[in-house]
Amino acid sequence: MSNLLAIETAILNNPIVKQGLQLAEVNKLRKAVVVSEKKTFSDTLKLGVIMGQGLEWFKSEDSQAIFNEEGVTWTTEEFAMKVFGYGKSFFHRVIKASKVNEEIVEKFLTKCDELEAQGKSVQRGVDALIKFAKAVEENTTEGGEEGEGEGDAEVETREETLLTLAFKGKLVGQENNVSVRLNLNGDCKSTNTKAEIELAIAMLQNAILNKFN
Amino acid sequence: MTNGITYNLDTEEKNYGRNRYNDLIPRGVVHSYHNKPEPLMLHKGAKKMDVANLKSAQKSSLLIMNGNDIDSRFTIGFEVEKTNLSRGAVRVYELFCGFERDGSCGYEAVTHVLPLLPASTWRTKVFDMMHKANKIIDDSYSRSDNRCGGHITMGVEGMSGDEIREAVRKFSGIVYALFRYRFKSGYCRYNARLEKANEWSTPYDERIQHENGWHNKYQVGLAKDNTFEFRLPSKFESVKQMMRRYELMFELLNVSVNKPNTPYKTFMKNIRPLIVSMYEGDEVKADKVIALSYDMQDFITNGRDSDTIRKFVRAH
Repeated sequence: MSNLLAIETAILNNPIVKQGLQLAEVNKLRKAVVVSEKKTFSDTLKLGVIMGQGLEWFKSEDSQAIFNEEGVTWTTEEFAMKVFGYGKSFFHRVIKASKVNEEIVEKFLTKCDELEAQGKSVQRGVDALIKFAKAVEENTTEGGEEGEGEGDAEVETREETLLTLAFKGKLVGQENNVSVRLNLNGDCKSTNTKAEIELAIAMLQNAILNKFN
Repeated sequence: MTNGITYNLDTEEKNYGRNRYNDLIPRGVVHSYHNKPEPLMLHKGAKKMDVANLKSAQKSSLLIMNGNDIDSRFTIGFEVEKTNLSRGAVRVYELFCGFERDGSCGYEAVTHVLPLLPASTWRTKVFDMMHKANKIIDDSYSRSDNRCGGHITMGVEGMSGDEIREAVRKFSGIVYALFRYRFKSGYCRYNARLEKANEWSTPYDERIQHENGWHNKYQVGLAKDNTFEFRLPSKFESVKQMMRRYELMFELLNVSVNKPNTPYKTFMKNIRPLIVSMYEGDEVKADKVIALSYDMQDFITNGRDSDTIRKFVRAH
């Protein structure tokens, strides 16, 4: 929960609201120790289910009656941020991922395990699952029965990162921070300009020279 | 998500203000009668995200674009009269411009000039200020009795107080019905049909004979330069009650200014859920008050007498 007004904190302490939004479970899942990416992904899907149920409850007449009575008006975007701490777009993507058929989720996870066993890096995230599920759906033959012409899809692997550079340029009066990632295959990813990156590198070079002279 | 407008106490003007003598005085203490600091204009300076859920038609009729800022066309202010103020509760609040002693009741806490809005993020922020001022508003902390009133002052950008009076009198029957017992008070019973003042130059036989007589101040609803003050509403006893009255005044001003041809019956149908909420879900009580309001409205608009009018408006 983030950026709450006093009146919003009060309504989230209302027992009916707490129950309707399953806030105890939400807090438990959000606090869960991230032991591995696998655990985070599985908890995120569980959270997605609760978030979907919470959104449905929030939009119900009963819930709106309570919110109106207490004087709190939230857009869906505010609901997502204030209750779950997620921006609207990611909030909806997590809910969408949580609704993916269990079999397809299992397929996705199996593929991830296979690729990891081959030494590849995979993204076990909601966006990757949604993409995988969409591809499975598209690849399913028309009128196909179970087991016959069943859709399949690939899981995107993540390129190994060789080097990262993060420069908080705004702290020294620059317009932008700088973020650069160099992958193992030589692919360089950044949204900064060449000049911005060169400045960051120059600062690093200066610092190294000073340290070792 | 950006933060939008924020109501806090982070600047000097929110903690201190000028009184009518132009002295800079603190907002968080009780001053003598008519000596409180001037209010801030809190109806100005909202951002896009504060009104994101409003429909286009609402935005165009209720908001004023002021560069990157958004101002509210409608404003409202409340006077919270109490016989006692809770120990330790007198301090600076985001909601109140100041406190002063009041001759009729004891003490008065007066709000800043607030935006008057439909359900929105911005309105939630206004209600949040009320919520935080609970210890002044709620009777369980700061007591009141029947000497205390709950005056409500409204403004509309571009309209004089008299123009607002003329607009709202077509729909004020419900206000009369809700606060019908307040006609007993000598502080709010004059000019009971909300008619305009007589001009000095008007010949005697053409002058309006104001119902319950005329008083320059103690009217049911008082038109000032550019605001209109309902003096009839009773004392404030809780934050929820203040919120419901805020909502009612919005509906009243919105229909009066933006949809003046709405039949009174339609207006009552639209606000019935709000009236039921004001009576904590008691539909019988709410419907009784709504029924009374028709007699009240007929009296205001047409001067028609009835048992209701004799019993409540003219009885004193």
